Amino acid sequence: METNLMTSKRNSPKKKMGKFNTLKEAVAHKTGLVNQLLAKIDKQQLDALAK
Amino acid sequence: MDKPFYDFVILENAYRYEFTSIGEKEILKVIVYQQTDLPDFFSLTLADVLPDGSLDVFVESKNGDMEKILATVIQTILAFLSHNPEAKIAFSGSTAHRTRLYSIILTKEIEKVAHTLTVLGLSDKGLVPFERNEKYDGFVILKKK
Repeated sequence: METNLMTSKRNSPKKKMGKFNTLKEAVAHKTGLVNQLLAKIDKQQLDALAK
Repeated sequence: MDKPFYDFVILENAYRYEFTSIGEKEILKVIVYQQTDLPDFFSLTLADVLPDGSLDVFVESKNGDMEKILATVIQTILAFLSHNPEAKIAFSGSTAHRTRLYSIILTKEIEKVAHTLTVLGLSDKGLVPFERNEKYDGFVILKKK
């Protein structure tokens, strides 16, 4: 069962925190938050992780 | 790892997963793994698909099956890492409360996954080994080499 989650639905009367019209927007929001967290990792830690 | 979990559908080359939470209500859930700014690091998004087709990453659906949902998320992590062995999955809760909840779940589950997965905490110190009762802003899970 594959749903068409990428379809934009803009009939919501008001925007609720954490609510997104499309999956793409929701993923972009969460990925943005994760990118902020990942910015705390320094190169030394990344190198250690790659070994 | 040994907890019951929902059957899930693997979509988009194993970057997207869907399952239905069955409790008081039936709620379609979607999980997406998305490349981040760091090579090999992927974000994990868990969202409810609402009746109007919109997505909610914030909602506490209170469907009485939280453990089963989280067990399903762990199964999708295993599936994603089997398709992408070099990937590192980074995630946090939508709220500080939920991040704390994830920490409690990871504390319970870490011994069961320790032979296959490495779990790290993300804090102001950067990446650190996950330890019980420590406060983290997020988590990183990767396959052991």
